[in-house]
Amino acid sequence: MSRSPEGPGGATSPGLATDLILGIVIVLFSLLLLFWIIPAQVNDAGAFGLPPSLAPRALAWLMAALGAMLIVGNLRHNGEVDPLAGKLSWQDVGHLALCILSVAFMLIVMRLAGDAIGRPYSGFWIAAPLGLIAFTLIHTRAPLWAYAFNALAAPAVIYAGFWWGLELPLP
Amino acid sequence: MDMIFAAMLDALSLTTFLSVVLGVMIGIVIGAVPGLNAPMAIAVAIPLTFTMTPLAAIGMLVGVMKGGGFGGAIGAILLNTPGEPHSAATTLDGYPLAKGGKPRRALQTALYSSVAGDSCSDLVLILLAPTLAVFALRAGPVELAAILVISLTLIASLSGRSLAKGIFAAALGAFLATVGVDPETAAPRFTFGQVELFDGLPLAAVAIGVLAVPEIILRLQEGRRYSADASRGLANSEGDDRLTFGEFLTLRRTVFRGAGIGTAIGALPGLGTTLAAFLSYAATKRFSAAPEKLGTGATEGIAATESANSAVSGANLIPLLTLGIPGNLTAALLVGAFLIHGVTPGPLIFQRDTSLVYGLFAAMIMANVMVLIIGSLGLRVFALIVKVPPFVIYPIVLLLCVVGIYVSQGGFFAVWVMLAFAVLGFFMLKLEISIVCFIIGLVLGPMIELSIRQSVILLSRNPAAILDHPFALILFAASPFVAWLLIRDRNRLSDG
Amino acid sequence: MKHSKILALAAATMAFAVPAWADFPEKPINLVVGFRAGGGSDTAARILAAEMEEALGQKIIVENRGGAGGAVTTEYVRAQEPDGYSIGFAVATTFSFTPLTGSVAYTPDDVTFIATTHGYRTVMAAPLDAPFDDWAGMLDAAKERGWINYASIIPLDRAIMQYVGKKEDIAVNIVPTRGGAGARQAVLGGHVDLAFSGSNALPMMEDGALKVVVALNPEGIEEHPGIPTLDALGYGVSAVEAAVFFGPDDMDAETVAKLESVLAQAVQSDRFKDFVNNKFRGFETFKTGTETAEGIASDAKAYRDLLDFISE
Repeated sequence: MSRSPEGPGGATSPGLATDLILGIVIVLFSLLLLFWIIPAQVNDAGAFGLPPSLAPRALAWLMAALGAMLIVGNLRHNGEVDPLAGKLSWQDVGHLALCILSVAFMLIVMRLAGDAIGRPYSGFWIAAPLGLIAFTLIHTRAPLWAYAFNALAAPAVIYAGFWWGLELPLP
Repeated sequence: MDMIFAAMLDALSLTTFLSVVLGVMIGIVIGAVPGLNAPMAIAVAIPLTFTMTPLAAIGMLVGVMKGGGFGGAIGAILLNTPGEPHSAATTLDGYPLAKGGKPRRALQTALYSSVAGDSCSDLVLILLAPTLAVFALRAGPVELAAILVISLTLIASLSGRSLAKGIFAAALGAFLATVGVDPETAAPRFTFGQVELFDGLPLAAVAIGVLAVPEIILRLQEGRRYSADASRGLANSEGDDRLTFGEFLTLRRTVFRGAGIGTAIGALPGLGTTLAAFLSYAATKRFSAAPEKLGTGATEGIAATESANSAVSGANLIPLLTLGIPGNLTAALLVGAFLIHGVTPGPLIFQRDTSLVYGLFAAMIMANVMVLIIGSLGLRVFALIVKVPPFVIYPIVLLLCVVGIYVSQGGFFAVWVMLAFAVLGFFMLKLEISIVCFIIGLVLGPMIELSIRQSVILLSRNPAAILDHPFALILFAASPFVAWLLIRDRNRLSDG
Repeated sequence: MKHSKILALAAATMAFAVPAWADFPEKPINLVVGFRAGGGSDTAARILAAEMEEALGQKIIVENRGGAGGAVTTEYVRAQEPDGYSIGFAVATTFSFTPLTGSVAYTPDDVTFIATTHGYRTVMAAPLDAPFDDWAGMLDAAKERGWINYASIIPLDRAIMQYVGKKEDIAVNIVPTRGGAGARQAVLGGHVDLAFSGSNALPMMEDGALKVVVALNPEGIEEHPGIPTLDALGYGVSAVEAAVFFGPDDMDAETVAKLESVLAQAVQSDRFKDFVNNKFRGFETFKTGTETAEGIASDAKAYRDLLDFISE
């Protein structure tokens, strides 16, 4: 499970400031909004004051302008050290994906099991211990008792509090 | 006057007292759970009050409201899990302070400021409610738009190291807040056919997703990086972390400023708690002797936001009781519950339901005292959370976020929203894009849009009527000047 | 009081008269409420759920799935098994009006209606300092100035006001507001001339804070006979709003009948009656599932005509 700690610089492309890449992404995102998503998802018919698409359009233009500012600003200061260098590495992204996927997996199991059994908290009792074990594994270096505690005691406390105490149903 | 005291004394029965205590405890606990918040606490408590006497029921709900306010601060400070968008302001200094080994100090500051702010606004409510309510009504869409625009300008000073990135974050938040059914044409915007998105993105799910989950993900990653730290708690150092009363007194100006801002905003319906919290924080940063410390765990920052937050909740009852206009979600639930128990809002409420209204005031004062007492006792227990090993606390908090959002925001959809925003929040954190500005944009954006669109419609047939709104015109005119001042002072304010 | 007990008794006897229903329910029933927890609609649903629990001897698990005026719950419930263990609570316009707007995928035919339990009353209110006291005065004032500012809350009230504007040839300046609070604020502060409101405008009127000029529900306001209904004023339109219990399509007729009879009994409870009449200030009405479906079909037709007239 354990990987070597990343070195300074990480996987950010050398030479290009992170903010420059960010600026490009922002500009592309804004253009995508302006020329595709806003026209497709907002219908101005029936407006009698300002059209519903005005605020989204104005904000998208604003974002595009700010992205452009970031690009220009970072082109000029190319000689300086990138203040964000090493902040975001591929390893970080991998870790993020691992965390998000394990939560997503827990949710899917919870939904499927909940639907199949149809009693409150049945999905929760199957998925939550699995999820907690996965989260603890992601952290690594946890003693065995922590796995047991997380997988059993924590769901039990949540079950008692949410269902007996508050009568809030979970799948 | 005699009647008022009689009614208030009436309220001091054992039943009322016990229900207030129970309410405060329910509020603190539910408010502190990640993913749950004060409105959720009220919603859970309402069915419990069905069988109670009206006074006991009102006392309990007021207790839940006030306890929930402080409970929200506990989650925000210890775990970086704000239950409502306004608690995001408390995380700014509260979480760094708690992480830096002084959880009790952070919680105490929050508790004392919260109770102080609440008491100030309750006092205003009890003394001035009817007058203030009538005055506040004069603020229409045009005035609200003006207040919001100038507030946003003031808050822009919180944008962090890069002004462009801060404004980008706010614009992105405001953009995402346009998701949902358009209030004017009733046609959906950016819903991609999802009925769940018709009422907009679930705010608590977004706030938890963008703020709390990325933090949890980072902490889980630390487990691999620093082996020595893994067995230690969240806090790095121990030692004396108590806040003495004398130290709290040094924060009095911040607290009073927060209480003033909170009371004013709470009395004006339609502005809301988030605005008050961030305005108070921005003002404190502006006037602080050490503005560079804010954001790194300064008690001043916690005092500013918590006093303003809590002041809103008391002052909110002004438009609520006399006009039936709730100022935020908590108040909206409260007005429904009041109706069930025979307190019908209206300008004559003080004559019609004298005993209930003054009983309510007595309950509010009682609840403030109880929050202080129960909160102080609970502090010791809550502060222990930071001593729990990270491999236990973070997996459980992550599960709690999922479960809390599921039950409070309506199902799996909200949890998926939370997860998507966790990805966004993670990148924003890494790329130093202000998450706070994002949340401000998300909350204030739609308010500004709606009030401007309402103003345009109201003035469309008679544009000259804008001259009937001198207050709004002055504020609009002052905005560019304020912006210039803030940009000029940026270097002093934003070095963090 | 006595009368209601006899009714309740009658309903209870009816419930036991047919033995074929005996098996349902064998496990807890999920009641999905289409509104957020803590509001007036949710409270009514929870009171009824408590009564149902007693009558059925099974737990009713109340879950809130608020959003889009009940549409979120409708979409959720119609995807569940039609076994009677997943039922929903929404309002009549969730089925009669929302599908007409073209933004949802369901129609009233995609669900099984179980019962209508109580009615909502809606009005139009004017500020205290408005230069008119009644509907005719409002029309005169609007014609004289050329336009009227109207604070709207939901698409239906907007459509009705646009219809009135077109009929009377007055320009209606529609000010959109978010939720009841915004409209209330606009009318109390005198920022608009007229605003849509729920029954919570009635106590405000009784306190002398605003004027109520017309009722939108066809039944009118019983305790204030001076308030005319739009229907009575000759417009032939109204906003019919009521609380509706429903389930997924193709529910078993016996299960529906059982739930229907339990609800018929539940609405007779003193606690529920007190809530509807004195707290919620709606009105008592009970419709069976079939009656509900018929009512919604005819409402939908009326709204369709209304929308066609506006867009002509």
